[in-house]
Amino acid sequence: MQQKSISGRDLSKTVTSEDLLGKEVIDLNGTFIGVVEKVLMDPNKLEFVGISIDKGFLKKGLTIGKSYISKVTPHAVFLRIKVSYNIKGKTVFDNEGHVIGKVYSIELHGNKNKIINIIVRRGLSDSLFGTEIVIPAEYIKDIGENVMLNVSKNKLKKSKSVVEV
Amino acid sequence: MEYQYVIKKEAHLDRTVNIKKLIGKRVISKGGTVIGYVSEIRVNSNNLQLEGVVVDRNFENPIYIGKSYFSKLSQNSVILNVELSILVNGKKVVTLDGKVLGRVKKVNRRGNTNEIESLVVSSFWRKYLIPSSEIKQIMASVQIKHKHDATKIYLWKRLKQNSNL
Repeated sequence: MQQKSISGRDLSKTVTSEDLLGKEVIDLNGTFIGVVEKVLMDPNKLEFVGISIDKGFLKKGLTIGKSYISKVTPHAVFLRIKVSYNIKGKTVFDNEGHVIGKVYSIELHGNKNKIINIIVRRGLSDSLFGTEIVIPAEYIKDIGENVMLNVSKNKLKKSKSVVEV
Repeated sequence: MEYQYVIKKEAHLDRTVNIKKLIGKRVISKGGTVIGYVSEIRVNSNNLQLEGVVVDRNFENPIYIGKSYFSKLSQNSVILNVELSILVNGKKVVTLDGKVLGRVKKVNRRGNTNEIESLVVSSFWRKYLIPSSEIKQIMASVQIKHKHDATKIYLWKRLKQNSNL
């Protein structure tokens, strides 16, 4: 049945909440983050604010602001960013392939996706660094399946911007 | 131990790596994927140059990787300057409109290089052949440039293209 419209605009290219809910969310890295659980709107300005993502059983959800959404397609929502929170749990290697530890936590710029520091945790058996070190984002060379740094383990130890916790 | 040197143009001992110590060390891709462990170092018998390494992977066929793909060789690991295309197998393939086409079943490479010529993508019902020109990016998943109009390989075409499949 054809709907009548008093919106004053062409709504043929708009999407509804049904188009979003349950859709896969894919980040810039091609990683499937989760599915859209909620669509968030500002109740005063009546504007679309962002989406809430269900990452799966026993996993914490994630809220993404609309500025990080690249496009909404019939099958998925694409993001214009690599979600920084996905770095947690990855192994950190220095530029010589030494294992520094695993990413335990990250510090972001406010609520933005920009990483300031990563907190890397080592096993108790390694006495070189203690249990946790804070590494600034400038030392990160590449993030793929794991994290590659652009400095060596020795340089990290000497660096003043690297803090042992 | 103090060494006596008999060298002409060769690098000083401190700037070289003891190859013997590389055996058993990690081989890491550009993005931090641990590919396997060095089982053999291969040297050209004519010019005595290092040619490549054989990488042992548990329960998989070993890989011989040429030095063109080395970024760094340290006492602790071999770090590559690429992500290996043969490890694309099993990754999800997503179209431009977010539809999951299937998973990569086979990677067709240009000769023995790391360059991809095409991918064979398999879903529950169908197989697709995706040429490299259609691939937008390969990261956590494979994203292809177009919407769901990838070449379907019907049974009569499969018989002709058996060599690629």
